[in-house]
Parts: sequence; structure tokens; C-alpha cells
Amino acid sequence: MTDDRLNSLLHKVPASRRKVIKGLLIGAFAVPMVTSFPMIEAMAQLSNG
Amino acid sequence: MNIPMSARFAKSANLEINQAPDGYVIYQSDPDRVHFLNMSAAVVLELCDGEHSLQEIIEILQAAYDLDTPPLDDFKASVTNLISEGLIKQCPE
Repeated sequence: MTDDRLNSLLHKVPASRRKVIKGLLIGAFAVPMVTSFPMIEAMAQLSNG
Repeated sequence: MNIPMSARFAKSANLEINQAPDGYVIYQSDPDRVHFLNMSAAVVLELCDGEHSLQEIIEILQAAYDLDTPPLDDFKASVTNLISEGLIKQCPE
């Protein structure tokens, strides 16, 4: 996927958010997963193992 | 839950979104919950910006990940999950 193609796909997204989305699109597709708990830096580290 | 693919969604207002190496960690104040989204789910959440329909989002996923077919079942399940957890809300038509 070229950068131009990605920019074309994400043309409705403001440039600042587009950069974030491009970062998230790195790697292969995985089934989108949402894991939720009833109740941040420590949590982020935990999610990273 | 039968959601039309023409529907548009936006992120809920009560979210504190933190980027993690493998996706997002989201703190939600009401209800008091924490959510872990993997990278693909984080992309779906980001594209729920009130501008993109579900159809547009799945087309972006298919093209960006170079998939032969759109991941319809997985995508609909993730959207349903995001709705049920209160992370996204449907925009008025």
C-alpha cells in the first residue's frame, strides 16, 4: 500500500488524525478485538505484556 | 443487532484514549470502565468520526490491508461491540 493510495483512502480524515491511522495500519489485518473491564500508563504497559 | 452499512458513527465524548504499542487503552468515566483495543479495532474506532459510513470504513480496511474480500462478519461484530460498550454512538441521518 503506497502512501499516496493511503492518503486517497483517508481523504476525509484530517491530516493530523491521518498520521495516527497510518500508524495503526502497520502490520497484517487481525480480527478487531475489544476487551473491556469494569474499574493508565501502567495499564498500557500491562497490555503490552 | 442489524445496523445498516450506510450508518455513520462517532466516538463517545467521555473517553480518554491512550495509544499503546499494540493498540489503544481507553478509559471511560461513565460507566467506569477500561477498554483494550487491538490495532484493527483502533482503526475502526478512529474512522468512526461522523464522516465515514460503515460501508466506507470496511472498504478502507479491505484496501489498506490488501484483503481479497471485506471482513464483513468480523467488522460487524467489532462495531456491535463498540456500540454495546458505549464507545461509539450513531450519528443522525
